[in-house]
Amino acid sequence: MNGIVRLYPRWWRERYGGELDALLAEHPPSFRDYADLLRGALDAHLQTASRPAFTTTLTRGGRLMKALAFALVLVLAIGLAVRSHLTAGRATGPTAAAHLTAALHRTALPFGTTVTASPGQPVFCSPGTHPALTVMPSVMPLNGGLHADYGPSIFVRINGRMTELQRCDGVR
Amino acid sequence: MTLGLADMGRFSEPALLVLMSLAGGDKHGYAIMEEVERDHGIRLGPGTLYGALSRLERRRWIEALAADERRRPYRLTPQGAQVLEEQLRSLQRFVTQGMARLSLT
Repeated sequence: MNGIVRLYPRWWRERYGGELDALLAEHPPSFRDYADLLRGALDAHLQTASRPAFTTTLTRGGRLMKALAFALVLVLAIGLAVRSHLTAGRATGPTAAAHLTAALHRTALPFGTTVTASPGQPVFCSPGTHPALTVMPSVMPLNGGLHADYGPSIFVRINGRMTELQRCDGVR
Repeated sequence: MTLGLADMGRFSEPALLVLMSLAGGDKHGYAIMEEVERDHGIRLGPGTLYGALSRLERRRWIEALAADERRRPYRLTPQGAQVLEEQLRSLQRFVTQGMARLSLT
């Protein structure tokens, strides 16, 4: 049985699990389908909590708590999945795109600004932790200077953390 | 009180699409998904589709037939056909009124 089908409550799996599993085998789910299935699983748990005739040893309050706990786990799982999706590709090599998530100097950058490596631009690297970061003209170094006149290092904020990047394109 | 499609919250529209699809003949989940996408350009996610199917079955507006291997076809019941007819008549009134207001009739 597809792992995501196991997230549905037992009564639901016993009734619909086989056919949903067959559908997923025939039509492999996309990222969007997984999100839809997670939402469906949460919905099924909430249905369980609101079913007055549902026979179980759990009380109605207990079933509601179980559904809420499942919702909390689901939200955390979706958050982790989205975070992992957004950060995928950052560490795949020196030419990978880097995402700046906050301001550099006084120049505010919108969340998720992507700075892509391109020829002819100075390249700064953070040893071991980030792929090479090509600094575009819109990105100002914290230690002053014009974009065409970078020093040997700049400070940038990556994922909320101030990070010093050393110039690593051989130009001094 | 009679429950209508509108009582299904976010599943109202998917449920209407499922009823419409089954009005054309018995189908299993995947066939419903494909037909809805082909005829109406709406992609029903698998979680949404089965959320709608379980609600429709609980209200006895559709019924499950014997499984063909692991795929189970569904059939529109007479009650389901009546709900669909009422919904379509309501939409027809809505369309007629809208067209009249735009002087398109």
